[in-house]
Amino acid sequence: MDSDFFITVASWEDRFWLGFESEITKSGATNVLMYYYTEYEELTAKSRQFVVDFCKEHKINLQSPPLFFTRPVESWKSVYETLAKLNPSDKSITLDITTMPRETIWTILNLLEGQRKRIRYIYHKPEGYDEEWLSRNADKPRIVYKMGGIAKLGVPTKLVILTGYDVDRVHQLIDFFESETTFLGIQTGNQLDNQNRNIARHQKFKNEIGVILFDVDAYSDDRGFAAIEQQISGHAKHSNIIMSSLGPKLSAIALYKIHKQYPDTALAYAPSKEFNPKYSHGIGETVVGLL
Amino acid sequence: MDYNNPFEYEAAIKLGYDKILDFYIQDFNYSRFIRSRRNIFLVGERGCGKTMALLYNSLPVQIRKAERDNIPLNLDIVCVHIPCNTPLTHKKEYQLLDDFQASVVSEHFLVISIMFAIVDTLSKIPNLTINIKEPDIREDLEFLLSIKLPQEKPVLNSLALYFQKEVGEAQRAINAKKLDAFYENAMSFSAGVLPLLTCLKKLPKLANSHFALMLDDAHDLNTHQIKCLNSWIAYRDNSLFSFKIATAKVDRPPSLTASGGAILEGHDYTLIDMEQPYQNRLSDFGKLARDIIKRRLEKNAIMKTPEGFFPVNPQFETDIKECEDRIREEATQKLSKPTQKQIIDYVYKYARAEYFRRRSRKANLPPYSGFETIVHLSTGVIRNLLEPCYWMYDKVVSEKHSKGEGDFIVNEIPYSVQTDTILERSKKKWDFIRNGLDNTITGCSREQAIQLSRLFENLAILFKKRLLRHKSEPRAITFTISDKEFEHYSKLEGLLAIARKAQLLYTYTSSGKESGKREIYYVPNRILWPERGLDPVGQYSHVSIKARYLWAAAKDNRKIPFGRSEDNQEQGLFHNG
Repeated sequence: MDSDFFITVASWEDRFWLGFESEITKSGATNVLMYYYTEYEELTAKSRQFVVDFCKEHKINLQSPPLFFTRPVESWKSVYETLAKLNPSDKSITLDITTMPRETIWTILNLLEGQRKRIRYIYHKPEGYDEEWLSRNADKPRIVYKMGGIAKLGVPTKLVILTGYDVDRVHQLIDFFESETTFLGIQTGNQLDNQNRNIARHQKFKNEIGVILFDVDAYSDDRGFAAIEQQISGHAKHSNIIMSSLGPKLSAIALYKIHKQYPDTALAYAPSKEFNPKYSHGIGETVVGLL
Repeated sequence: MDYNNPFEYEAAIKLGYDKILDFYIQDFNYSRFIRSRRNIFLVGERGCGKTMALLYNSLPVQIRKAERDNIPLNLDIVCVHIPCNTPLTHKKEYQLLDDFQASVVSEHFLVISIMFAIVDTLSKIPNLTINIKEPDIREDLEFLLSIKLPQEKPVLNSLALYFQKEVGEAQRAINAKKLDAFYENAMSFSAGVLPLLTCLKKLPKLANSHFALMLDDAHDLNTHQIKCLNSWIAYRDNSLFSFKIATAKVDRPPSLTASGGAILEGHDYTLIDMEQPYQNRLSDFGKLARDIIKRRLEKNAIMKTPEGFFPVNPQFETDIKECEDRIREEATQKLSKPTQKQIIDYVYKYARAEYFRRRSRKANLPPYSGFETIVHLSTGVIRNLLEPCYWMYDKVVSEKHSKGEGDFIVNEIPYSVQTDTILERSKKKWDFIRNGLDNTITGCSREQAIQLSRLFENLAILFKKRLLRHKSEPRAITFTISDKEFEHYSKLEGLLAIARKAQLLYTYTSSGKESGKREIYYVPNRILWPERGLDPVGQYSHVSIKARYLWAAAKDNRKIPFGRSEDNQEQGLFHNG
């Protein structure tokens, strides 16, 4: 599939540059928008240089605007301004969400919505993740700009969390929003040690009052949309629903679609201030989808 | 397995009106402050009872109380609960605007939330608008607020509906995909809340009412909203309304007003610290804790005293008794012509320490049990009191279930179950210190998590040494900090703030014995001590530790020096109060 614009976020992970090379070669994109986080400027320098050299060699137009984990306002403005400059014709866009924080995925999709005819997303699984830790130094959860839905007055807060490997972050979200009910979507399957690192660890929530566990599969065709919708559809009218994903990156797509289907719901991002320099290794299967 | 655990410790907001009435202890009440016309700040970390105190006094709960007690509803003070931890408060689009616009939008959301809470609360009063001409009051409201109300519903419902619509429109406007999306029709406090209250006072039942606007979790408000709120607090005419603000201690909002001034404790508001030092069963918290547990037992038809329901391990009781006898004997020999009081003081200081000192190093951890121990382990925080009780009860019911017993009636918690649960909870807390801080506590870096883990390890070591060897105050488990000019003091303060957020550490202020100055006392969460074989039952004293030693313990994992008077090492390090 041809793509005029390719949007990505620079990373030090193998799958960033391996995926980039393979995807650009296949899609023949003529423009690349590579955001990079200033906090990881040094760590991503080598892979960014790879992209610069690759684009130069293949005569691809490259823009590389900065983003900031610690200054979300500036990040939002940076995304807004760069996307506003894109010619809103019927060019197609490929969004590589592999190393893109969920907040950035949602912001880009939200701002592109209505402007573009076709948005394609791709995700490269890694060969494996670091076994010790992936991210830490939790920052305050935040509702994504312009995606906080329509909060109602005097109704209970219900939280949807799609879990990942980090159990503590689930506690943090529940404590932060003090939800009346929390729907915990547990990713199914045995991929990437999911059984031990995710499913088993979250079973303890079964006994917690106000927590409802459900299965979800972000690798299914609908990225888990139907499973999430089944949980929230009966509550959307009389509750404030906040949704967050700590699980597979593809689940961010499902949450985005739920937010669009139920515009009163809010999307929340649970940021970390520190990521493991050995976050993942290698590149595995590539998942592609259309919005 | 379905059963009713009497020690449910859910957030107060999740309890229904009846449970709030059942569980809230009026003796421990801040009611006289809440039901006053003064501005009040209730400060304390999670679980210390702020929300419960506000909700108990809120009008809907008081209406239910009047119904249950079959007494007339008193509307002299109408308490309106206004939760601030809401999705609306967490919206951040104001950050994309300039300061002025951000302030306008932020105030609008807060004002609409307050107005909605007022009308929603008042709508619960039976027959509030009976015998009045609704069209008149509706006309007044529409005129004063410059709004158009839906006609087909009662006036308060119409207002609630209007505010709901208004807040939706404002959000839709600021959600627009534009850099400067703003809402033009924003409402201010003076154009919204004040005329609303003035108008509502015209209702005969509210003619003499004072409105207590109770903002819960005010630390969740944004900086613009805090400034607005402070400006309203600074408005010192409290005849019509006052504010009761519940907020966390660590992230307590600043005192600045929108006009650049500041609100002052004493002048503009009264501050109530909800975290109380717990010293013994006769202290305020001791009495409160007993009343809370007693009430919970009664409501579940368990006719036992708290002490009877949570019995002490008899061997422990015997051992402590033996130690008391031995220490009493020692007092009569060591002290010259001791008075009865001197002997009692001597036994108080050393008997329990003697128990811990005489235990074999190879012995298991002490059999922590008994109601008083549980109260000490709470560190003066209600949720910390209920949590182990909940899990003890749960364990007993689970055991009954697994044995196939049909009834889940529990008449006491065996001391062995108490010991196991206490040690489990203690271990869990240490696991949290070692592994969970940087993933859970906002603003805690990995480095700080490691530093805190070291700091608490070293505090445990210090307290253990003191318990086993200190000559005058062996059971001191509270500390103060000296040497505040130390160059890294601010870093240490940052670390301690994280520990407080994580509820590993509590603070209270009191006057120092010698200087008379107000001093901050730091109390590590006492649930930490069982796993280290320490005595959670502290004593009236504290350890003064130099900031540099605490910092070295945290940063470089150095032991906190232990000064022993017999060899004059580190003399002057400890000033036991």
